[in-house]
Amino acid sequence: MHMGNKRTKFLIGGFVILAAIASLGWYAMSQNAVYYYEVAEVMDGGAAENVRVAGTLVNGTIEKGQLGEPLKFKIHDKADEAQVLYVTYTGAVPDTFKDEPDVEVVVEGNYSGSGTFDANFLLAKCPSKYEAAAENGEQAPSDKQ
Amino acid sequence: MNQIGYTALLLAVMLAAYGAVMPVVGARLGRRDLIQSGLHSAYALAAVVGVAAVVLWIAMMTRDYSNYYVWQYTSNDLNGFYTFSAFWAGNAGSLLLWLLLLAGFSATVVYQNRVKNRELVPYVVSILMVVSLFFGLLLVAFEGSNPFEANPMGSPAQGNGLNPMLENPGMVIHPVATYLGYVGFAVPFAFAMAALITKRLGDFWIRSTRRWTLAGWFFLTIGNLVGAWWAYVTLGWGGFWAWDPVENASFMPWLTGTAFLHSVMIQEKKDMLKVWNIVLIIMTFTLTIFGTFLTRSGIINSVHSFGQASVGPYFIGFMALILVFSLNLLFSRLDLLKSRNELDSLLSRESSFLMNNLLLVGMAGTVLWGVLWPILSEAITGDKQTVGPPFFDTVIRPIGLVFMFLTGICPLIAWRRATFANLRKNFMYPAGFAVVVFAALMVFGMTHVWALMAFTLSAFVLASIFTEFARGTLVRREMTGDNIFRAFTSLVWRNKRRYGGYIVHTGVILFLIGVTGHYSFQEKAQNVQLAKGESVTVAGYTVTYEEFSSFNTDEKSVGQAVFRLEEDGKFLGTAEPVREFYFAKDQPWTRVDRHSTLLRDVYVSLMEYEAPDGATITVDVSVNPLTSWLWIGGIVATLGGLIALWPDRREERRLAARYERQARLHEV
Repeated sequence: MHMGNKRTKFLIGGFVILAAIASLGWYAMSQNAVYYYEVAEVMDGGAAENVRVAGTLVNGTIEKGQLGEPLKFKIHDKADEAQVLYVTYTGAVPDTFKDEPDVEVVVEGNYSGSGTFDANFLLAKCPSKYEAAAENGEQAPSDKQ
Repeated sequence: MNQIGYTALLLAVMLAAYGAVMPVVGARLGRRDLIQSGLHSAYALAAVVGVAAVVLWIAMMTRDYSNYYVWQYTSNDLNGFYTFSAFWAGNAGSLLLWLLLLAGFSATVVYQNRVKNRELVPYVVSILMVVSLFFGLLLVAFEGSNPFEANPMGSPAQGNGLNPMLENPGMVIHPVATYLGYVGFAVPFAFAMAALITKRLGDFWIRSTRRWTLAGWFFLTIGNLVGAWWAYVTLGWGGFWAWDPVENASFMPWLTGTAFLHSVMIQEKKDMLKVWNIVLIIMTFTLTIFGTFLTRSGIINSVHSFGQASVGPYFIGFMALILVFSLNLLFSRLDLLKSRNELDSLLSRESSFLMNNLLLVGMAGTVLWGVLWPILSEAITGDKQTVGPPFFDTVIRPIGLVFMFLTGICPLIAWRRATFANLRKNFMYPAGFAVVVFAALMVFGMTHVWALMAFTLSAFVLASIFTEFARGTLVRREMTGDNIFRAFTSLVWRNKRRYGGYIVHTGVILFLIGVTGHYSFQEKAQNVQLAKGESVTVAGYTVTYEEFSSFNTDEKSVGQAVFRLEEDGKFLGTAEPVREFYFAKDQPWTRVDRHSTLLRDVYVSLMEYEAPDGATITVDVSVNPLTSWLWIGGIVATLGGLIALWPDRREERRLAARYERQARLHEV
């Protein structure tokens, strides 16, 4: 018996299902993709809503404020320290967000267009501890888990 | 001490290299003695890696801070339990854990196949040794991956200490369970490759690895569940899954592993989908390596990855090697993989299994896309983009609903071709029950569309599973004259594979009921400032701030607040969340407290407090409906997996005989 037609039917059916899933994914992507910039890049453009920005924490700029008030700090571009963004953040502060050298920070929120950023999401990452210890010969921060 | 450990690892690398080469050489030359020698190196490897592991544990237990890894992850006041689990707290130790488990499983495979699978075994072991070699090389060749590195600071008096996030029983279990899951899938992969190489493409490789596949699935499920539980009780944000790249890393192989688990059943029963099965196990194994890579590459920003390690590129290279090798091998053997049977009808159990596979792989694919999007988008468009939970929710939710529907249909639909008559007979009661539940929910006032669909489908599936159990139990009672209870237990015990599977499905649906309740109906109040005596009300639950106490130890300052919980004025209990600050690490940590019932969790997280008397504090309160069903469902699913895994010679012989008969019939 020639089964070719049946096999084709099922292959087509399978492709249709996968195509449906792919379209769903495409749609979801177009609705939900968030642009991801370096500090210098976002400051180059104008005001932007719902974007992610990565930079390095400027030491000594963390302001905790009164209980319940937003957290304020500055981040600079990884390559160009002169480009600095003032960030205001409301939400849970990850335990890796500390005033230490070379803390990488990722924030998500709205850029005002004039050097300030209103964030609703904050991620921080410590540098590799081995380098820090070797350089400073002192106690190094622990790795994020 | 360090020297012994490192030497053991060097020996391990040499043994793995020997074990990768010698069995193949022996097989090619037809020399049994060479093959045996190669196989026995697997035993030696397990012993040597065991020595390395024991050395590391001893170093940790004795706080040997001259070992850099020990210094990084332990301290003088760390209790014994967490000193034990600090073994896998960092990159190097977790790689050693992977190798330890892989070496143990490889030795087990050699032992299990002392007599059978003679043609396949040399290649199986060789492949497992190649993977061991990869991990061994990572351990000995790179700083940051070596658990026996000397501490550049000499031998300090105090250690850096374990990250407080890891001082939780979940983090003792999660990495071990997840890696057991990964390594569990490495064995079917090795067998599949060996079957392709030796051109022995009958069912034997699948039947020999069925238990390994189930074990891998079982442990990976536990690993994912415990990880989610840990996130819920320790991270303090009230959720349990954030579609974080590292969470996705262990979710993707679970999805394709589940697909593989189901489709090998079709190959066993119907001798179909042979090529598809091999593709699935290749995907699953590659994803386990990818998952291991994601947690330590530094390439994707995530809350819980190990720091930057220079081994990233080597993982990518290894994955490329796996894919090139296995896909090439598969293509060269395609003509030998023709199935004996074809799919007859769209309305059949075979079809629904296939749908199940497509949906699972589709989900894994979209999750992978979301994880890789930052890299892909930058490469394609020049602009880097990321996607977060909204993307994953938009895609996974509808697919998940279809998947639930399928879970209800599949066990009751006929093989080969279902007629409308038997569809009606099998699905009348479950569908009817679902309609009743739907109507009840509408009457109750539920308007949330997704939740309505999810609960209705859950009712459908649970009813369909119940129908299966009921029918089987009643038939058994007829046969044996036992009472209902005896009939039920003997039914399950005599058909552990089948009914264990149904129990897993039940667990999964209960879990999804928990997900629906939690996501659709969670209510919370965030960053609420309270003075003593003040309260906040969320969803009818009043949380009143009553007392505060604080104290300092050598390593941390601790603040604990006591809250009184009331539901519509009736006293429920107290919640006593804690906020700690670790001096050495300059790091705060939160321990939440919650009041759990089957209906909902009241979840209280202390965010900040005014030292030293806590006159004012900031608190997050959330009411999470049906969250306990996540864990109940998880336990039921795990139990079902255990039942399905349970060895039963009689059942296996019975099933093997049945498949033989069917195969002979089909050959006509």
